[in-house]
Amino acid sequence: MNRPDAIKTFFRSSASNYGGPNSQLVDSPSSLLNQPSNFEHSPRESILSPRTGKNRSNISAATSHGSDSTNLKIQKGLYQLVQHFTDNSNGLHSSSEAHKERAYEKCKAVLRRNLRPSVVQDEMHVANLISKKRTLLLSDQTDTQLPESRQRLSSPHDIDSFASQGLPSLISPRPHTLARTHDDSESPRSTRRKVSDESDDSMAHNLPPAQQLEAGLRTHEADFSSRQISEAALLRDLMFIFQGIDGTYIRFDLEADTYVLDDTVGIPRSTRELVHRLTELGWLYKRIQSFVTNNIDDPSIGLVGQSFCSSLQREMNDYYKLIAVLESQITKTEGNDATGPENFNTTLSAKSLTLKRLVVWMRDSLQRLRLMSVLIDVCKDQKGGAFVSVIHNYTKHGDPFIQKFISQLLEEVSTPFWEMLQRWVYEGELEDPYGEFFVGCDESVTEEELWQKKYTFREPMLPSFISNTLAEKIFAIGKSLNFIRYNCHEMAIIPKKSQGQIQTLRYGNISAVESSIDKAYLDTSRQLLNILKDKFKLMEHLKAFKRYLLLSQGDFIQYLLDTLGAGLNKPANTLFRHNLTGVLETAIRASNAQYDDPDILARLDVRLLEISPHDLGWDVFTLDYHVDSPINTIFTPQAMQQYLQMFNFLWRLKRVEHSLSAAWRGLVTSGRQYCSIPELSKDIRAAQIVVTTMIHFTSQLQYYYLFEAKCSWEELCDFIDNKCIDLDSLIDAHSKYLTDITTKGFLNGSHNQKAVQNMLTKLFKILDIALQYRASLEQLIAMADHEFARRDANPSSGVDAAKLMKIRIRLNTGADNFQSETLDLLSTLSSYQDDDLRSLCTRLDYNDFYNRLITTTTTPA
Amino acid sequence: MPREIITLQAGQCGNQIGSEFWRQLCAEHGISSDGTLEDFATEGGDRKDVFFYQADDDHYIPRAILLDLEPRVVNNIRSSAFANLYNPENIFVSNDGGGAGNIWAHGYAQGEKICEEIMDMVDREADGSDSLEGFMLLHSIAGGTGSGMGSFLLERLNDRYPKKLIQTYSVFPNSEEVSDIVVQPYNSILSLKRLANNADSVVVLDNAALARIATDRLHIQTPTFEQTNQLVSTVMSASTTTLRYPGYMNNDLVGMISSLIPTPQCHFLTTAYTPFSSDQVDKAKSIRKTTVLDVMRRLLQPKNRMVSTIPSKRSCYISVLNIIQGEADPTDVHKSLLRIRERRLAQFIPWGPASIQVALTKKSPYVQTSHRVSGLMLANHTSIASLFRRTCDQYDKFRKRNAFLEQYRKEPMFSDTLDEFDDSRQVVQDLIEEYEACETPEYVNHVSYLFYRCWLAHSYLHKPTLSGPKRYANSLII
Repeated sequence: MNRPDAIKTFFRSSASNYGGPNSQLVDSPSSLLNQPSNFEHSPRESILSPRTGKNRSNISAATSHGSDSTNLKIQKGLYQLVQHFTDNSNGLHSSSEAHKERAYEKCKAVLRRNLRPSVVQDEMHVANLISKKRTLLLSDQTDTQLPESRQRLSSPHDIDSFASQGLPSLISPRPHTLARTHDDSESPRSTRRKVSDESDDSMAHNLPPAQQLEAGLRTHEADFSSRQISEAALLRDLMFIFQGIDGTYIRFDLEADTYVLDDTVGIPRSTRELVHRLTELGWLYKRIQSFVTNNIDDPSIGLVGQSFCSSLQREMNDYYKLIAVLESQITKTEGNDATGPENFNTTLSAKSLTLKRLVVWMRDSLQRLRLMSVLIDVCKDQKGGAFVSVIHNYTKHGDPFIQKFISQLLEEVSTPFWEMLQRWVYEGELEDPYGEFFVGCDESVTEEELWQKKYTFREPMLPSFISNTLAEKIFAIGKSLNFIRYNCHEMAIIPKKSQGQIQTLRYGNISAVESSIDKAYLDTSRQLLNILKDKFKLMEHLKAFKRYLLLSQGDFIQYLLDTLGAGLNKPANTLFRHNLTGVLETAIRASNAQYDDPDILARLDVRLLEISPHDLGWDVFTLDYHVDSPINTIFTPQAMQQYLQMFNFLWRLKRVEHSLSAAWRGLVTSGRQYCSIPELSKDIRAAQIVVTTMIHFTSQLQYYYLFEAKCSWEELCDFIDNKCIDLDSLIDAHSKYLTDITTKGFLNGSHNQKAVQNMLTKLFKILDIALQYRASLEQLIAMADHEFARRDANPSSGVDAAKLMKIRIRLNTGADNFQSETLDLLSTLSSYQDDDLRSLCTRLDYNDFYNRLITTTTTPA
Repeated sequence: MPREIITLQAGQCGNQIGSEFWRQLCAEHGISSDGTLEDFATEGGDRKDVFFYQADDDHYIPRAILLDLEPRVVNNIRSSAFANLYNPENIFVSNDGGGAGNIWAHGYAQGEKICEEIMDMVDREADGSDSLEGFMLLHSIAGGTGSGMGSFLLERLNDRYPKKLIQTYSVFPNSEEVSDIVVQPYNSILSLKRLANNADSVVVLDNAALARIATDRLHIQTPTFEQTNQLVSTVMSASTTTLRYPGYMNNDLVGMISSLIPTPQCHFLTTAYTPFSSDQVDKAKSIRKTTVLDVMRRLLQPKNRMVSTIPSKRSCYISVLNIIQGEADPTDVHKSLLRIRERRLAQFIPWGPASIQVALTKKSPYVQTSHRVSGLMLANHTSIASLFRRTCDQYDKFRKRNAFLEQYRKEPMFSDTLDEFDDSRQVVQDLIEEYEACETPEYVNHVSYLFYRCWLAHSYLHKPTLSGPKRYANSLII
């Protein structure tokens, strides 16, 4: 048996005994979070009173220590046994070292279950067991079919043990390892479970008599004791290791990424274990230090990252202090232990530093370094808010130590974030060179679109301790400040620090942060709204839109209709914008619009839409209203589009109404003389009634629309006066208002676009029929006028029957079309579930006239 | 282009109503009694130029022509606080000052005599307006001046301004009680003919109903003329609010009455107003809860109607326009409409679509009222025929006996023949029939003689060569 193998054996068994090499590996946060409760009983206590801590750890270590040495002996013996057996059976198999190795592993696995010697007394039974297992072992050597042999194993843990061979993660494949590796994926929890299972297992099974193997082991032990070094030397080494410097015996193995204790040094296994534990500190230190030195001057890590580095460094300073204290202790101890390093078992004074004491002393630091190391891992490639979020997650840990540590750390780390926040919230400045804040700014966006587009919300950069609502408020505050500054060209009222209006925002007291943000939010939003309302006459603009584009200024619209009417009946390409502007000017002067704010009137304009062939002036004429910054943030191009749509719809209705009431006036005022023409009286009467029906239709449609629009308008006014908090809600309310009124005007189908489109087409068809009817009616009236004049001179002759017939047919078709289309529209309307549409239906057929018409025309069949 | 309306007030009643009306308008527009704008009247939005124009010194002058054949009422106006409001050139008082003596014929005849003078005033006013919408005549049909001269004016205006609308506010006599004017049935019949033929829209106000409202609604046992006139002026100002406070709809007279009057023959409108209170009339006490539904429901109740009609089972609304003033919640309006429809509180014509139109208007910011909402109903209701029938009945009784006709025969119009009476009676009969036809689904095919007779009479008067009206009437029936 060669030496490396023996050492390997030692470590493997000890590893399994201690819970495996992976048990204390720290990789994922969860593993870390679970760990302290496992092996750290009370860190504070151990720091305060090292003695008690030491005692306790001694006690806890005692049992395992005792069995450790026994195990070592057992395994050595076992190895020899295996060698012996395999040598004997050499005749059958030209066995290799690998074969031997395998056999040994199996033996060990068998034995591992029975490491506690003192539980079962029945030696005969034990002997039987051994012989059974030996047979099994041998048969396994000859028979390579593992499953078969597995079947004979009594416990599932045997299989586990077999399987574990296949799992390199469980048993480190690296030889000569002293320290734990940190790149293992196995979580300590599962390993721990396994360990406890195994120890349970060992209780359940009978033990082989350890004594049998003891003799073999003793010879081996003699080797170790001959190479012992003093604990003080180890301690001094460790002090170097703690600072990332290689020691005399312990060196860093770059390949294995771990500290390695010189092979040639013979120290007790327990001591090795302690050293093993302590070197983790060195490993962690190296990691942290390299992180800090690599990143502290690297701008790409961002401000938060830099502050993280600096707080790491501060932590390291504490760590250095501790080491300095310990080092002085070592010096003292060395002075006391001048008797000689050879004597390992020298009685120690109460104050002198030992490895075990060192472990206790270093416990807090270890914990801290571990946490830092974890943070380094998880924060890799994170920036700003995300970085803070990640760290913040650790504050939810149940261990108060970790909580406290992380909170303190976070307070420092998040300082740049809070500074940015403060600048943003109170000054509107975005000071974020590395893109760490959760508000982003697109410099290319013009001031016009500042509110909508300039600032973006960076979701990933939002620290998790800031709720979304709070974040939205923060976002809105800064945006409002900038809006006030750049769009409204006003001085934003910024609270002064000196006046105590600003509370310094910091991590830890989120409710205080919330309340100051809330206050700033309300103040800023109110200020912005007031500026918009007072300086930029928001309400006046809204009213102007309502008055001019939604035709509420009746006298103005009437004048436009009166004066433009004739011109708009001509083809669209004969219209000239300057003529129309002139008419607009006079319409303003002639109506109450003249009393309006000149600023508002100046925005009012005439526009001609794109002309397509056969368009009449009516089709292309539209009013327009110019808006500029900052109110165009509310009156967005989309909103303007909706207003124009509404204007065209209403303008069309008005045109029909105007045309019909002109027809009515003609019929009524001339009606008296037309009655002198008996041939026409019936036609005139019929026409009067049809015109009235059409007037009824258009006026009811307008009343319906008017009321719905008025409701929406009052809702909007109420919102702006009483409920509006910030510009966003104002914009939303306004766009809701527009959506409402366009929906009511069948221009926008929130539910069913196609149905609405269909309805609008029908409506326009009816309106067109009304216009056509009016045109035919003009002919009738012209005829009547002509006839009346003629009759005055020559009363005897009759009217032109053929001509009258033509007109009559045209009028009758017009009237019939109107009625059938109206019926069609009504049946469509009543088929909808929408309340508003049904209300229109009710209005249009309030006295059930159309309804009766349907029933009388359908029932006779 | 304010679509001006020229107001003509004729006779005692017309001038009394008129002065109340102008007082009311001045109050609503913040115009002081001398026509200057009050300091507080800074809120725009109202349109004063429909009824007023501005003099060189910017003070407002009503577009009003005051006509009377006796000086008493006009002198009262001249000595009142509003004396300086009116254009003195627009006041005509007959030189002889004798008045029409409650005889229609006298009023008509004197109107003919002073025709030039009056038409001069009218022309001057009409020329002073950019886009004259029409005329408004305030008169009563029972007396002499308002009915006689008013009738003459209607004919003349119709002749001279055929394309302009003529709306009248006509106070009908209290037919339920014995009147101090014995010949009022004669006057009424003769006036009704002109109202039917020459006016485009007649707002009928009934002294009986006004008195009833004053007693019932306002708890005034013996209402004075001033109080009843205040009722009328309230109705008048309310019915013109949409013209004076332009909104999306009903900005002009045509727009408003075109939806009310489907055929030019049926142009007699009834009104109802609620709630009357001390704001309009002194001593009115009751103040009730006013919601839109309350107001709309009350407007449909006969007791709030300002005409005493006797509705039959077949009576129905041809059209309704409710003008709601004040803080009305638009959502309430729709609910109220549905409620009225469900409860069948209003019957409508069977021959065409009809509905209650509701116009919401502003309230004058200068006149404080204790009511949140007030409402005026303008309705075209077929039961108005009962009023005509009653007038006819009274007329027939007198006419059978040819009683009290001497005064009429004094005028050339009646000196030879009483055909004018018969003709007028026939017109009123036609009118009654027109309204009766209106209650049937066949109204569309109804042949109206109304204007035909008018034209015949016109031709007859001006072209004596033509044969009498009977022949034409017969040829028409064939």
